Parts: sequence; structure tokens; C-alpha cells
Amino acid sequence: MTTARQVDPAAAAELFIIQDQIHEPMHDRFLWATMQRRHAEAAAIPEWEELREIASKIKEHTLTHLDHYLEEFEANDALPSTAGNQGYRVGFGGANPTIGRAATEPHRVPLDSQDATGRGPFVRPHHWHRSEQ
Amino acid sequence: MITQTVTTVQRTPAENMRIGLFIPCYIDLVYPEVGIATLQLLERFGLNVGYPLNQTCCGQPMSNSGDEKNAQPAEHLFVENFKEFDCIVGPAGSCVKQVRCHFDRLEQTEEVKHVRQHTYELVEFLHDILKVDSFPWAEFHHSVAIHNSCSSLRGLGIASTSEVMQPPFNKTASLLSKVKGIVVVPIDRPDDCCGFGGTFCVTDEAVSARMGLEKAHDQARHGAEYVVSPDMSCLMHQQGVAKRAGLDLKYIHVAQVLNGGPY
Repeated sequence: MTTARQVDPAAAAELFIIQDQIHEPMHDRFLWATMQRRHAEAAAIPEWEELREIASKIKEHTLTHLDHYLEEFEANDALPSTAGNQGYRVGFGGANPTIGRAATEPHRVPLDSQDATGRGPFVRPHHWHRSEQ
Repeated sequence: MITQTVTTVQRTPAENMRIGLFIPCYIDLVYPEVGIATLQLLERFGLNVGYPLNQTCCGQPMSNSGDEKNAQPAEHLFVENFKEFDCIVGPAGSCVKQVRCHFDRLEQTEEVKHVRQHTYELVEFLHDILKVDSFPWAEFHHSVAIHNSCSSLRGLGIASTSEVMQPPFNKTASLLSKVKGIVVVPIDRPDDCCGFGGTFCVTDEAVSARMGLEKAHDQARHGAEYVVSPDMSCLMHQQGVAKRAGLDLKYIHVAQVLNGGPY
């Protein structure tokens, strides 16, 4: 049974905003400055949108064929699979995340695995927006 | 003998079109003057505008929250109501985006495809289809900040956005610049989300309110008296935030300015 702590992003964000008049404005300023730097770099490359489109297609292809690539990754990885386990292990920088085999597993696996890995809480938003309104 | 009773600016191929007027729920309930302005404006161009009385929600709130099952009957009804029209025009970018971009779960019949391909947000209809070059009946002697919503920007492409490297354009600003007396003031972050986001303002109230406050301060800081948008839903949010913050800003729909009221 999992003892994982689930984070409520909306409540955490509210605490961050109301704690003082310093952190949220600073966060906003830094994020805005980062965006401006990104736009300046992008504007300096004439074929930016073309490159971005190609990158987007690579990402889409990879996600579509992720099962294939994960298995290839596992086959090429130095760490052996853990026999008898529902999932199997690959060497993600020593983090050893479990990868769900069944379709019902992916939602549960991150919550279960974080106790074993000792990594921080897994944040799962309470709603998933398909798009903005 | 035919007497011309409506001021028409120009003859366009669109004059013979049958236009279906799509009035989103919240405009019907909260901002009926926006619906009236939209109808009057379209009729000024001599268009044959029909209003299907059975129309209701386009399914957007359910669809945006991932409830495609319950969105589907509303989407189906939308197609039934509007399939006979040549063009469907609505004064709300996000609702039009729902029809055009997200009616994916319906079986893609010829009727569904027709409705999706011919549903326009008001600004793009005036700008791209009618190609309107003047609004001689309208005057607006105020300073105005423009708010193009995320849906209108990223979904419908009514203006260029800062994240995409392309020549700048803004269809809303282009139409408003043809209204006598208007002064459009630039703001610092014109294409930032105002935090409304439909159900987002309910599920993530604190972030939503802070984003709205930053948007309203941006508008006030640049001397805007009015904020004008093709999306009244964003303005509903900004209006509430600005009022609570004591900012003297008025929020109206672009149809009201282009038609010369009602306000």
C-alpha cells in the first residue's frame, strides 16, 4: 500500500502567492525575462520555425513509438531486467524507475515507485486541461 | 422597387450567404448587448442572418474538462442547428475554436465537416471573409487596450503571438483602427493569458486571480479607459478582478465598438 503524498497544485500555488509580496513577483519577473531571451534568440535564427516544426515531428514520432524505443533502450542497457517483477528496471541515472507493462499501470506506478526511490513527491494535477478556454 | 434601408459599405460575394448567428450561452445570459451588437453589425452589411432558436451550449466546458462523452450531445445539436447555413458567425473566439478545432469525437459526416469549416469568430469573419474597410456609423473617442484571448490567438490565429517568429499582424487592431476617434494603447504583455481559462478560474482560483490582476494593472498603467476584446469571457474575469482592485477600467466587446453600441 502506498504512503505517497499527493500534492494539490492549486492550494500550493495559493500559499506561494499569498506568503509575501516578494516571491511571486520575483518568479514572474524571472520567467518573463527568460521568455524575452528565448524570443530574442529565436528571432536571430531565420529558419527558427522550420527547425521547430521538425523538432515537433521528432517528438510526435518518438511519443507515438515510445513502446518500441523503450524496449530498444532496455535491450541496450547494461542493467539486467528484474525477473519475476511486474515491471522491469533500466538505468535512468540510478533512479531505477519502474515502467508499467499493463495499460492500467502507468497512473499507479509513479505513486508506488517514489517510496522505493526516495525521490520527492509525484505531482499529479487534479485536472487535465486539454486546451485553454 | 427595392429600397435600401441598411447602410452598406460595399458589395461582397458574402451578401448572398445565409449566415447563422451563434450566440454563446454566457453572452445570452450575461451580456445580451453583445449579441444585439453582433446581429446589428452583420445586418449593416446586408447579410441574411438567421438565428436558430434551439441553439444552446457548444459543449466547450465539458470538452475542455475532458468530458467528451457529455460534450457530444451538445456538439451534435450544434451541427443540427447550423448545418443549413453557408457561414456560422459567433462573437466568441473560444466557442468558435471549440467548434472548429475540437468537434473530433463526432462522426465526421459531410454536415459536421461543413459546420466546422464554416464557423467563424466575428473579427476573422469581418476581416477575412467580408474584408470590411470602414465602419462609417461608429465613433469611439476613448483610449482602448486590446485583449485577444489565447483561443483567438493560438487557436484561430487572429493575431501574431510573441512566441512564434512571424511578421506581426493583429486583425482586431486592424478593424478597430477603422473606427473614428479611437486610440489604441499598447500594453506590455498583449498576448499573455489573463488567467480566465474557463474552468481554470474555478479549479485554480488563486493563480487565475493573480494573472487577471497583472493583466488589469498592465491595461491601467498604459492609460486605457476601455478594454476591448473578441472574447467577452476573458473580459468577464478581468472586469471582476479590476472592479475588486478598484481600477477604473471598462470592458466591452469588439462588436459594440464596431457597431457603435449598444453599450
